[in-house]
Amino acid sequence: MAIEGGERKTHMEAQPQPLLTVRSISKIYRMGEVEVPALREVDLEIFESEFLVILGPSGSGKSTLLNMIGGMDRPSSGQVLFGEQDLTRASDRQLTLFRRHQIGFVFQFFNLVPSLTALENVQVATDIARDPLPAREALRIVGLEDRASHFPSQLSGGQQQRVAIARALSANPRLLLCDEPTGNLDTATGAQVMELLERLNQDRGKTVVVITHNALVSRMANRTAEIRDGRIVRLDIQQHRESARSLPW
Amino acid sequence: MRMVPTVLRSLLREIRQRLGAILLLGALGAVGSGLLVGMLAVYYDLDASRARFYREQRLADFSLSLKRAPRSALEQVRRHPGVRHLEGRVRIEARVDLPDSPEPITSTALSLPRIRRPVLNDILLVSGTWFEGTRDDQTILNDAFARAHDLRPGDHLEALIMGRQQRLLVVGTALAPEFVYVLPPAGGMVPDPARTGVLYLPLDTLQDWAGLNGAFNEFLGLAWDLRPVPLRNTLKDLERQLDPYGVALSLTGEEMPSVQFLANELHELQTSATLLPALCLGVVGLVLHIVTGRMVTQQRTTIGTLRALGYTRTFIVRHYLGYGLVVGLGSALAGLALGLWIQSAMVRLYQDYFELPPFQPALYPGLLAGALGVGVLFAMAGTVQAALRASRMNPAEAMRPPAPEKGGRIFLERVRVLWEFLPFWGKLVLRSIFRNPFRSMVAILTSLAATALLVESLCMMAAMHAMIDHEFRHTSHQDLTVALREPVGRDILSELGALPGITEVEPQLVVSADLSRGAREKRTGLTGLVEGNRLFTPLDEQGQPLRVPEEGLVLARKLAEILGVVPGDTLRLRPLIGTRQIREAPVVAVVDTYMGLGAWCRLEYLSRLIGEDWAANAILLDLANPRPDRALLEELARRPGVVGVEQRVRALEKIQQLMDQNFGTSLFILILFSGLLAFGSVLNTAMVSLEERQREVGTLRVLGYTPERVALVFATEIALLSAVGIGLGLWAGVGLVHLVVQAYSRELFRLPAVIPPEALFQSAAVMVLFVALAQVVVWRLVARMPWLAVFKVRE
Repeated sequence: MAIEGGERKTHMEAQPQPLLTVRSISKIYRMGEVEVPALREVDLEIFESEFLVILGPSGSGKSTLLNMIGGMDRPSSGQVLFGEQDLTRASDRQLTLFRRHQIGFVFQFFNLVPSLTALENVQVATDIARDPLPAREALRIVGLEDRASHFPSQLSGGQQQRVAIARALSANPRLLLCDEPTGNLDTATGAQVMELLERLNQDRGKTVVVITHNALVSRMANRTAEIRDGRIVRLDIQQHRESARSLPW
Repeated sequence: MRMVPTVLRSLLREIRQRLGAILLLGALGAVGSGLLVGMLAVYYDLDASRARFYREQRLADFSLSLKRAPRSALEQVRRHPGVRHLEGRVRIEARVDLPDSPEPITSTALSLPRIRRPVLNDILLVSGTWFEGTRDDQTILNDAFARAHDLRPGDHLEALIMGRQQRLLVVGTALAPEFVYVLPPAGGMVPDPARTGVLYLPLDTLQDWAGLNGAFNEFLGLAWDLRPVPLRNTLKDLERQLDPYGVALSLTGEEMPSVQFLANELHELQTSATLLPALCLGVVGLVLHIVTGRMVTQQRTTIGTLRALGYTRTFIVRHYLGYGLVVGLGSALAGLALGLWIQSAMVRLYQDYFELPPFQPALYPGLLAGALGVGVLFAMAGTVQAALRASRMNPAEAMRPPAPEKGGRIFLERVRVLWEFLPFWGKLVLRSIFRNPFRSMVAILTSLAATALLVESLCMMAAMHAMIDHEFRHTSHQDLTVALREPVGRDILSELGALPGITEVEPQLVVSADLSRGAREKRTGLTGLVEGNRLFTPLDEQGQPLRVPEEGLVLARKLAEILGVVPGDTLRLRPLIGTRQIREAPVVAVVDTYMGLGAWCRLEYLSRLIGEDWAANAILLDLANPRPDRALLEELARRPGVVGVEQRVRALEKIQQLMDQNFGTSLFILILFSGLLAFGSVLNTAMVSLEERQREVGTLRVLGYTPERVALVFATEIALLSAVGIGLGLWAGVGLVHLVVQAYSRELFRLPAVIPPEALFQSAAVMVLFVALAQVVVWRLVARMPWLAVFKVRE
């Protein structure tokens, strides 16, 4: 705990205010007459420009936590603060605008619109963003400018995920939320996707939160929050991040 | 054996999940089956009631109007081999004076045997009794007339019959098969029971009053061969034999106005009873085809698993057919209930409309079973393809997640300029439309059909109004028409012109005549007009007044076609009044008019054809005050030789009233029907599209799109498809109007094909309204969609 305190201090020096604060949130799902707690009093802070990994086995509540952070769902109790804004009290419309302008999502199943080309899929986000990257630029960043007019069915899984990342990136969000971004990819492709996320974090200063069950990913992170049965059981801070390329995927 | 209930449970669960869509489809199917059952049942009821009435009261197969035929003539023609039975009766005009009527009512007096025995065109007593004893002053009234004037057995009425004022005791009221649809005797297209008096009197009384002792002026008969041509030939023979007795008119049973009208009504009922249900059930089948097709795609993993567990192909087929069965059976059962209700409501309506003996809506088990079968069949036909596709799935392959949905370009993308400018959701919409051609087609076709139906009914209504305007406003300008029994000389003009309040007098001569050329023959009415006619100006289809030359005939196109003549040809003409000498008459012109069998010439020319110098049998009057006072009407009606006095404004009002009633109701029903059709089909298309693209909806929502923006994608798709459907529907509607007009183009008159712009506009507006309603529902569906669930790991 001493280490954590010390580490907190260095963060405090660099970034006194967290970008997003999760304060003692719980989430209980009601399945008929049974109550299933998915999160129990979770506290977490996310700082500007950090690479945070939320690690946990399936069913641990990590996706539920991501939903709360991303403004897709509301906790049963507790608070989620984005700067000054209390997301738990925000209206549906305010949450919609929050997602639109502050968050970039990357999903395990890519969630591209099958009837739109790669470029058009990115435009879906840039069309409504306040200060977007040009869609082609976003595709260039993920290395797919020459696939702009391909439909998802004409792209490999890794390429599809990179389009999804381009889409998440293009709205110029403060926070990239990635839910098992490599979960549906083979290891080599997965490594490439992780490299891309790493680059976005280091070169462009994007705040990246990755949810995964793969412990290896935490070696890339500034911090790793381990979640089990709806509770954060460990919070590790890493002084020396390893590069994605060097990891034994 | 537990297998079946488990899977049945899953079927029911699936149905519950899609309850909204199913209910909508079910409602559409129920309306279809309901209309089928209701309208066909009414058709059977009405047809049976008509047949029973005609049979029991012995409706004649033909009638012959004569001047005077003694009993010997009756005995003579009775022996004709085509005649099965022949009777004579007396028919004369009577004018009835009633305190509640401003003018005397032109009525018909008909004879019946004094002692009751079965006769042709018999009556069915509704109240009172048959004639009693030897009194002359007793009458049986037709029931509708009696009801309209609140006359009951025991009441008295004053009538002028053959110039003699009679005070008659009403002994009974009755229905008659020849007066099921009561048209006024002076002519007109609309029933007017209050002004359609029929008085039955004992035969000897009428013979006495009419100066027809021992003779008749009408024969009623039954024929052996009822086919139109043999019957016509028999009638021609009879006419020839009866020529010395002054045959004026022969009618086959089917030509009698009431019989004809009732037959038309039944025919139209039968047409509607098949067309509308077929449309409804067809849409149900098509939409089910789309819905189940989607279900099979979505449930491929489940299907694969079931097959892997050892369920047979037959089982899978049964499962998906079960869907159609449940929808079909449910909607057909609801349709039966609806149909029975429609039947009883329509039977009540027809009871008011037609003077038939009371009849009850009957139950037709065969029809109900048939409608049930048809409803189920249509629904199951919609599910067959999906069921077969499901059964053909390979279990191993089906259990793997589906290959990613195919992208691919649509042809529109070649138009680069256009495509580049489209926002992404525009591209989504267009690709969705063109990649689901069948679904898009169904949506277009349904709104097309609904629009066309609306256009057609609005235009037909406009056509009827145009006809009425044509007849009552542009052709006829007189305030009163005085019909005379016999043609009279010029003196009548000064005589009537001298009456107070009359500003203009115009004579007319209307003569029934047989026109022939070679083997072709047609009986029609010739109208003789004076030069400078102002009160009655027949028009051609362009609205130009007909110009009638001093000599020769002007024929309507249809009549000229029937006779095979062109201008310059000569016709043989045999007038049915006056000297009845056959004359030659040249055809001077052929014109297009709505009156298909019209023939016109100069009054003086026509007078010469019937052997007179100058003759008129109808006098048109223009009045200072278009609403005549009672004194004038009485003065006119009391003149000997006057058969009837018709007020143009009154006739116009009556017909408009009836039109508004009839068309108003059916238009309302049709608007609802078209609306439901459009609403149901459009909504279903959207729901399937929505379900198919749940993931897209979820993605868009996560990316920060508001529900409104997401709904816009679906709304645009609906709007585009409906717009195309409505646009094409307007065209199709116009085409339909021309088809219907052609189908309705009977000999007597033709309907104009009127396409008023407001009819198109109103049809489109109604459609847009219902499509917009569907949009609201779609918007709510999008707003309430649990989009987060889409991101949960797939089943």
